[in-house]
Amino acid sequence: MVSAATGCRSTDQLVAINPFLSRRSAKNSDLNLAEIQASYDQSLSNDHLAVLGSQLTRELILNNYIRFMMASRASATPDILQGNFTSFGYFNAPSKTARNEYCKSTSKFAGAVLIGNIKNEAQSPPCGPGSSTIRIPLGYSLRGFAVPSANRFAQRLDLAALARASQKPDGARWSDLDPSWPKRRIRWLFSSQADFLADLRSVGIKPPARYQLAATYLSAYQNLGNHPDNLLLAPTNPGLSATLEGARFQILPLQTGPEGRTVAATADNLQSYPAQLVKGLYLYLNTKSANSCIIASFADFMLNHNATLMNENNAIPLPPAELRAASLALQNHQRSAPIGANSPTLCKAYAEYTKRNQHTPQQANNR
Amino acid sequence: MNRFSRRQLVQFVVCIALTLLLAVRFAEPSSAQARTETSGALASQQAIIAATKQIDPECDRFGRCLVNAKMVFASLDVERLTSSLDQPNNYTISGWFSLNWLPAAYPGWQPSNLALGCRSSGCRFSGWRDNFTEEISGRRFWTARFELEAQEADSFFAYPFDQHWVKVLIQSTTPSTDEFIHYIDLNSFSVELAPSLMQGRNSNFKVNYATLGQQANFFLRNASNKAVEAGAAPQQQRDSKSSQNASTDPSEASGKPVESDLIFPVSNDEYISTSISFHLVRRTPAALLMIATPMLLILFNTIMAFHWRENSPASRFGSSGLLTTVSLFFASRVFRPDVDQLVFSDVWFIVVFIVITINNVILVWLFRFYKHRSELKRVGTTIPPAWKTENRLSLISGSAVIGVIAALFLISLTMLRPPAIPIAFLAGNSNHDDVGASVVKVIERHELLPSEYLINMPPGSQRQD
Repeated sequence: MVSAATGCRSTDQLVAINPFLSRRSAKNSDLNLAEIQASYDQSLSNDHLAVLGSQLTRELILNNYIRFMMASRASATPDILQGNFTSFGYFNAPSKTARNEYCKSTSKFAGAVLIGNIKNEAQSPPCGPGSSTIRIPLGYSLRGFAVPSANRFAQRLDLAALARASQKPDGARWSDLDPSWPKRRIRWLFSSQADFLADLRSVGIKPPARYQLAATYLSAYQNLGNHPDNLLLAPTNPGLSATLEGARFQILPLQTGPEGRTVAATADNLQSYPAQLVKGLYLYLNTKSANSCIIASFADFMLNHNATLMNENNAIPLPPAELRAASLALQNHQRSAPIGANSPTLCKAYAEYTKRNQHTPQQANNR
Repeated sequence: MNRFSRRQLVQFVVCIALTLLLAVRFAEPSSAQARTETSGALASQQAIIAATKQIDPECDRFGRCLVNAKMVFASLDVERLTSSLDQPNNYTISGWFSLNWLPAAYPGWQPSNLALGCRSSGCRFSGWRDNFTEEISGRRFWTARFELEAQEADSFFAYPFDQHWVKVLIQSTTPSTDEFIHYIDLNSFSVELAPSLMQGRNSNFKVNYATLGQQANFFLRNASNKAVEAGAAPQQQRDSKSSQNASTDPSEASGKPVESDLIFPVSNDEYISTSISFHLVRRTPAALLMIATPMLLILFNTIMAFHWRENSPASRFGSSGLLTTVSLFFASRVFRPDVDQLVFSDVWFIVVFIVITINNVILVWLFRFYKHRSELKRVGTTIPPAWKTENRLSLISGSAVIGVIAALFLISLTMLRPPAIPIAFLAGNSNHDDVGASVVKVIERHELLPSEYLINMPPGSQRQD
């Protein structure tokens, strides 16, 4: 039924296969039915991969995949690029849902991009024991407490005092944190993009009964100035002020000990910032997936250019030791599944790219 | 021999000297031109970086000045998405398209360099209307109304429970616009549908989900390059680009972030296109109405004629056929694109025909039954009244109709289920291409609604993380 040369079926044959398809509907358009069927057939033979991930990591993954795609293709010769179409789709789901969906045995996703608690991720294997998934750390993101610029009294935030104050039945007041601050009630603001309830509980704060919820964390920062008593717990990043084009807010340094030492939410303080508020960005890679080498190549690209790509997309790059460990884990997987003549086009193109750029993170760090 | 050689030597030296002189004279302007071009490019890059630093003073620290400067933010607000019964594969999409960019990064660029298109050539774009432009903090905001008539090559299997992909391409009208399209930010690209559209007030369709993608196709550009300039040597350009890529990542070598645009330059050989696809599903009430109304009409007429016991079976057979034909014609003209489509590609009417045929067979049997009865009456045999048999047949016919409606309901439920991910994903994003690569953001139904930016959560409200 299928022509060996083109892989297309003729309209007559299609009508014979499906009695409900009319010739007229096929002729209605410039593209006839055979072409539609051919495109479906071609689509099915293409290399496609679906990745599930958090909305917070979408920018990072989409932007970096475009870089990866263009850099790989620029290195490949036309004979490698021809005769194949590769499509990469990013499906959106909160991290918890994404993890549950991805880890199902029937999952069709080739990978998942998750934001996780570092301690929890370190303790358990991805998707449980015996799973065919490997976990590649990509970088970090911080959660921060922010107040509007109109709030002139708060210059730091004592987490322990806030945790104590939150237990009060009528909710926390600013004066509970410092007697010199106003006796007004704290107005909580959160972003629906982050698991704020778990974040609050992780630092001992009881979630408030009444709060405002913003659709995105950027709109939360934009709306922070609505009231001077607003306090926002949301993801933060170094480029936030620039992204929001000068939205007026202040991210408070956290007082973590009784001696009054404070730590700001910056990349330099990754080690000293409260660990519960440091979130890891992880790529879960299904090694059994048909096109796993594309995701593995993409992960390799993000590790090789980790500092550039993470900084550019408002994430914190991996420290050198973690970068080395992640690269090693990925290389072990790649060694077990080498790229061959039948590998997807983008994998072969990326192999050409790496051949031209004989450069590994270890070499970069040794320099 | 010696004298001849000396003369030859002199000539040779003069020739070399002249050649060198000419080479230097011709080389000078070209190298000067190259120097001017390089310094011009650098100056323009510096101007772009300076403009970006006004918004993001720390962009140098994170190596994102150039990327931020070139980044284009866009949004598409769809107000109407309709399709007429006459031409169910033609869709009219109208709404607003907005852009936000840094004019310093694209000097001389105008929105008229962009157009909206679709997959097939049967596509009509109205042009940009009711433009509005404003400049805030050095960035330009532009918004305009559009109307696009997109023609899709669809099959109408399972019509009216048909599902379609309608693709809107953002196309350049000049080659220099390609870079602009490449820098459209996919993550922040907002695709929103008007509430009236989501509630089905002005459309029979609902948008199940949309996708937003960018596609690279080297062969498309390569082919058009060949067509435009026969002397061009893209492969040489590729090689030179590749040799640029061959340098190591200066960002990690120096320990300081470097602009990724300098590490991974965008290849001019790639044809970049950005597109938005809508997965349309006919709204269930509309689809059910399109099935139930004509089917009930036909069945009612058929059954009414069947049960008209005052007539003879022959007259009932005739009137049933006549009423069925009239109602069928009415149904086809009102609820289907054309009779051909109704008869040959509509599974529902095939089922209705089966019911009509059953009724007709019963009528034929009834004709024979009455004929047999009259024979029995003529010879004086005692026979039970005919209404008992008539009632039994009515019961059989009614049960068949109920069975058919139940079967259709089950089939409808199956057909209303959204397709599995890979097929839908590919169908929506394959641009009928077999070469190239694409990256796609999948936008689910809830993300297509205009969002409330801030909600007051009352006490006791439980939110699932």
